[in-house]
Amino acid sequence: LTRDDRNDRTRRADVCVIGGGLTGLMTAKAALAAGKSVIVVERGREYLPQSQDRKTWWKEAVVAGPEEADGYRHYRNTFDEAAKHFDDLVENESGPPPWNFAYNMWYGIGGASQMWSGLSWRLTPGDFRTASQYGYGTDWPIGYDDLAPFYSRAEHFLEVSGPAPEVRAGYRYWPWDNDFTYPHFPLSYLDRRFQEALGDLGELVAQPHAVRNKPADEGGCVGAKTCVKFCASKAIFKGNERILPDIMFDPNLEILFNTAVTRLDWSNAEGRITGLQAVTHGEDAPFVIEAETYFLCGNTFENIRLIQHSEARHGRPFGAASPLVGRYFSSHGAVTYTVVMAEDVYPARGRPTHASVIEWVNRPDGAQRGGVTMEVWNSDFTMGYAPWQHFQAHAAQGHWGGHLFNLLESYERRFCISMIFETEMTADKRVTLSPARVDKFGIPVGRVDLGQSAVDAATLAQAEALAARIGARPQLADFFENGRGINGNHPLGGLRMSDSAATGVVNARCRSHDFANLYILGGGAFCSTGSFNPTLTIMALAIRAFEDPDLGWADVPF
Amino acid sequence: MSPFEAELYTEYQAVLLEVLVPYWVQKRIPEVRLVWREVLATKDGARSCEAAFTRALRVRRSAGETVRMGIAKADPAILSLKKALYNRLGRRHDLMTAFIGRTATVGNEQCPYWPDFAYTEPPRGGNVKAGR
Repeated sequence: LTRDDRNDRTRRADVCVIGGGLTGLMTAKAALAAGKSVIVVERGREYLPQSQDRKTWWKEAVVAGPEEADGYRHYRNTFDEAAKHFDDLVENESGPPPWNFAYNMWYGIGGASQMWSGLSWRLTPGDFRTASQYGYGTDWPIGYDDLAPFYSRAEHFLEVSGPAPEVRAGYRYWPWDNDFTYPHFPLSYLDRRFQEALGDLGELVAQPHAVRNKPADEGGCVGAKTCVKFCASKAIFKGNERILPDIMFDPNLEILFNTAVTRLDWSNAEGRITGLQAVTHGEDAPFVIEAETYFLCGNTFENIRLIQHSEARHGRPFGAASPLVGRYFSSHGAVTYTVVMAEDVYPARGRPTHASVIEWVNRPDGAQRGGVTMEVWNSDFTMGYAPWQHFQAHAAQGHWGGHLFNLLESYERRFCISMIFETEMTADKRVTLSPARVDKFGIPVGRVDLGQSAVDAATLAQAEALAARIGARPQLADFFENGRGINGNHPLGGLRMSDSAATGVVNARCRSHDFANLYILGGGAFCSTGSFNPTLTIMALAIRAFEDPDLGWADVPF
Repeated sequence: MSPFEAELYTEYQAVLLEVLVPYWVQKRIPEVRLVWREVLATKDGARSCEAAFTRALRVRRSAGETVRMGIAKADPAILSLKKALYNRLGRRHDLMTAFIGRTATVGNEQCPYWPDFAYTEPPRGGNVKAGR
């Protein structure tokens, strides 16, 4: 080795993937199949829960704990025995009311798919043209029909369980033509009793889940109700469990754990990403990674932070689309209610959720309001999942004696529903960098400002009116709101898809308008939030990106 | 403590427990009384209970009323007994599931860890489409 070789810590590969989450691992798999060498940069580590210890199933849930500072609400996630599992939990700052943005995630291979409950909804055709159909927001540069085949491929890859055509035919509203791998999970007793209470107001339909609905002894769902953090039988799709084992021994793959990209380097003149700087935690010296093609596969929030931080370090704009980075950012709003039925409905059985009302997404043309869905949770998670947690929560509220035990008896009648609604993406809703706080790699923490537009107010009013009608049903003994906020687990937009750099950051294949060798995957490309969990759409958009003719990858394995 | 006082003290402990955990609950989960004995066996528990008992002897009220007043007026001895008992009960998962009358997942038709589970049909065609 010459002296220069020894000092050259630059790593080179055909493809550099920033972030080892769902889209990052998909990208690695697709690139390897196309014969490329791949470096995946993952800031976290592999997280392995104690699978033999049933107690940990109840404990392992991330909670974002708020604290006030500098006039902003700051969220630092908490987790039982956090120090044992994590030295680096996600944090962010959230702007003033009406909305707080709690972001419940941890860094690690598999990313947010580790805490995904597997809900695999498509967006509706109308979600792609909110401007022309409903009179607000922006139309996507692609339509539902462009994405439909990719939705199907994503559903097959995820092995989604959902209602068969003959089942869907009986539903009042189901705007998709899916080809699900497994039949849907049957609605629970609670769902059926609640449907009686709803009556004509709304129809509960089976949700599509990326969970294998097959015999438990063949690896199907065992109903342990732990999907969001850990699956006892590996029935739920988690990126680190389903994609990583396929590729981890490939000699063309290198995964750098505990390593964060701290700077992107680019040439505006050439329109290319020229490299990036990464740091492995605990090591002083950053190193450079150079690749032909770069895939920014962090969470939307993280992608925006990295670009904005890189701009600040270089002191120059990230291409012509720079003013739009972090703009038009939003997520789903949700108002959650506790339902206490008049009769026992036996919550806490089977999968955490089974049924949703989706027909309220179907709204008249020019409605000037977003869609609303309702999700039934089969426990009152605000009080804890198990009876003893309800007891502790009631006792902590100061209840005692006979009243305490009478309250505990409502456990069998008590569950939650969430009214989940679309929010409008406006230029005022944005992600910027915190002026004060940095994470352990020195990257400023993100700061989220979300306002409430007129469309949001109309959508929220619709959701609350529907909830009020549910609450007035005679089968309910009690009904009250127990929380509202923007769902931080669905960060969408901020790097939106458009026809040109004047109106967005990426093109219809999720490739940067400004940098020909940069793809930005994930929810950032969304031009409307829709009313449904975004993961399936994120995967469909990713598969569509892998088939970009400009990328030239053959045999995309999805 | 005289033998008469000792007998009164034993009865006071039972009354105190009944205010905190009513008789119908004790009938449903008799182990509550064992937990109560555990609380009284601790140094803090014994001291608090004796203090509450001494105070109860001095006032013209029923024993149960002194406990209820103690909670309402935030008597530290009563509150510490209440807290100690409820903390222990809250940690006893088996007692709470006994109270509810079922384990958290009983009747879950998809869980093989419980007896009598059943599962839904196998996939159409019997094969998994993913990865083809």
